[in-house]
Amino acid sequence: MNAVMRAAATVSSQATFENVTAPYSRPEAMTSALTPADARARLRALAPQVREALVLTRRGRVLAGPRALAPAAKDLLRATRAPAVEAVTGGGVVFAARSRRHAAVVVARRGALPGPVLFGLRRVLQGLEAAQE
Amino acid sequence: MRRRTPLARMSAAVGDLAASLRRARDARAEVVRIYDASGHGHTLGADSKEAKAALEAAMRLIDGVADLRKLHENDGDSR
Repeated sequence: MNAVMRAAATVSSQATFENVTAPYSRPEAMTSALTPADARARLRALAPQVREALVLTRRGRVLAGPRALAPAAKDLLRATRAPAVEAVTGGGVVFAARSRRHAAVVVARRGALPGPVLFGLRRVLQGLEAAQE
Repeated sequence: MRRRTPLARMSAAVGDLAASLRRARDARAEVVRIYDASGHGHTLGADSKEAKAALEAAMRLIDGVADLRKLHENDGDSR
């Protein structure tokens, strides 16, 4: 009887442990599905230097962000086939990245750290892809 | 501690000045870096067609954002 009670306690504590920690150990939990508007908000919050962000389809249709910037954003994405690009000019820096179905562009002042911005861009694109699946 | 001669002090000051000028020049430099899927970066040659196209588009984006901000501020002022 004692053995049964001990086993029940172990099973119960293991279940609690799994319930509480499961969201942290599931690979998909950290990449929640995002709407384009949420994605743009997250991109704008990536760094204090970020001035504007756009979320586009892979073909360049604007899903969130100012449409006036769409032609230049499309040209930047067309300039290279790389998954991500960083263009540093005298007036600022522009980051762009693409995934299977989406692309995102971040316009920032000089001084934005490329590592965190590009990491954030990739995470946001993963979130957009997750929303489509 | 070894004492510096006047000549060594002068050359150290000139070296510092040269380094700060070099940093200022690097800060103004136009650069295009591309990243592969694993996040490894590679700087494109400044004369390459890809880099020129990317820089031109980036400048248009930066100018476009500045114009939008001005428009937004003017709208705010007129209300």
